[in-house]
Amino acid sequence: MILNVCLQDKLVVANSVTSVHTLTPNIGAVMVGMIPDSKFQVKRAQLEAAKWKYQNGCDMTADQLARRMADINQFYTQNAEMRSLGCAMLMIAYDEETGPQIYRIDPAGYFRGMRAVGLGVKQQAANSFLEKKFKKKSDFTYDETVQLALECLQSALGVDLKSGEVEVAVVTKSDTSFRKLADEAVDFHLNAIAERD
Amino acid sequence: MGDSHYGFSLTTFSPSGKLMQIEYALNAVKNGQPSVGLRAKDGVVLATENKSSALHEDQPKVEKISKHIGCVYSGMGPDYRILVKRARKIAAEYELMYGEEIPTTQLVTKLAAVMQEYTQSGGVRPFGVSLLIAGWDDEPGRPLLFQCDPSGAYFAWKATALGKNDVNAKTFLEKRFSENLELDDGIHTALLTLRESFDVGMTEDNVEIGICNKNGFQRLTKQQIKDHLGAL
Repeated sequence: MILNVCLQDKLVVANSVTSVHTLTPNIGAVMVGMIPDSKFQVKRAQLEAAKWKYQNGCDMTADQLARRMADINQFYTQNAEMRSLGCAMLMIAYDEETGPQIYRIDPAGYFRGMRAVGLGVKQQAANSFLEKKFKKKSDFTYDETVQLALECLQSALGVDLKSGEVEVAVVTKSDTSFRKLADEAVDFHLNAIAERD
Repeated sequence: MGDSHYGFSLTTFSPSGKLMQIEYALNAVKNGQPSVGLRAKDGVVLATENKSSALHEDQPKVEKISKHIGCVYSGMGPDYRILVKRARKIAAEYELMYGEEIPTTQLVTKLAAVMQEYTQSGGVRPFGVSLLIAGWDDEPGRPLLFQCDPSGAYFAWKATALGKNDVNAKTFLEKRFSENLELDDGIHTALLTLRESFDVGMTEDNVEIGICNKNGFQRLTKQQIKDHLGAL
């Protein structure tokens, strides 16, 4: 999961600005859209997951959490008292039974499991890029996956990325905890892409 | 619904006596992906278009409500999810209370009542889906097909279609339907009807089928759908 961060103000502390959030130790999300609404939705998701664990004694799986968040979004579309939130969520997890999961949850209450997806600015271009790649093959190694995501972002935005401009977060089979990649790791993948071309 | 400042209904009468919100909800259904329901002698068929791109994981539209009842929709997906949840709860509560599976007609009336509530309660809008509910009642052993509308009205059908191109589809069904159809012929006819509304080729990846007979409600596997399409 990759996010492009644009910092307008040099006075802002760079590492305090992030759209990558940990919902549970094993489920992470990237938010696209209005920042206050995103923060609200993340807090709600963290609450729902924690409440589930408290009430049921086991971890909430990503698909259950995604469905719950989507149902909350649907409620906002049907009830007058709350407006829909101006943000969409991409949730990822590695489920021990069903494998890697990506869920896209949007303000319409629509939720969908995805094999690959782009969200936000230039998302059409990103999705077309991914569709083309997935038509040819769909089983990628870890390195191929990270590089494919970075390539997709670079191609859709039409810029060459630097490690300071992107946040990369992963979950893997060997380590299902949701974690951000350090700058050096991101640089490694960016260089691998550049060397390939 | 809920203690908000919206104690008044958002669905109000127009001078001509219509509830425009419900009309608009029906428009949402009309613009939805086509779905077809057909009642055969020994079972019911539900079929729908389910287009998705290579990036999407499979997500079913045909859902099982209880052992012998299933449903499909045309219209807004998120609203459908809520209704399926509600229907399953209604079915489970009935079984807990009466010790037997809920009869199809009871489920339909209760679910339609829920949909009607959202046309009259404060601060909510009607559901943007019409449901096709297929069921098998054990006593007497007979198949049933119902449609539930956003208004809360429900109709029993021998065969019907919802969503895009529904008028043409229903005309097509009127010509093809007969009381003697067996379930397999029913699936055949339902697929032919659905194909009329398809602009691309129909494959096992963009069509979903559910059947309901005395053995219960089940969704067909991709292989079974492929076989039926091959026989068209």
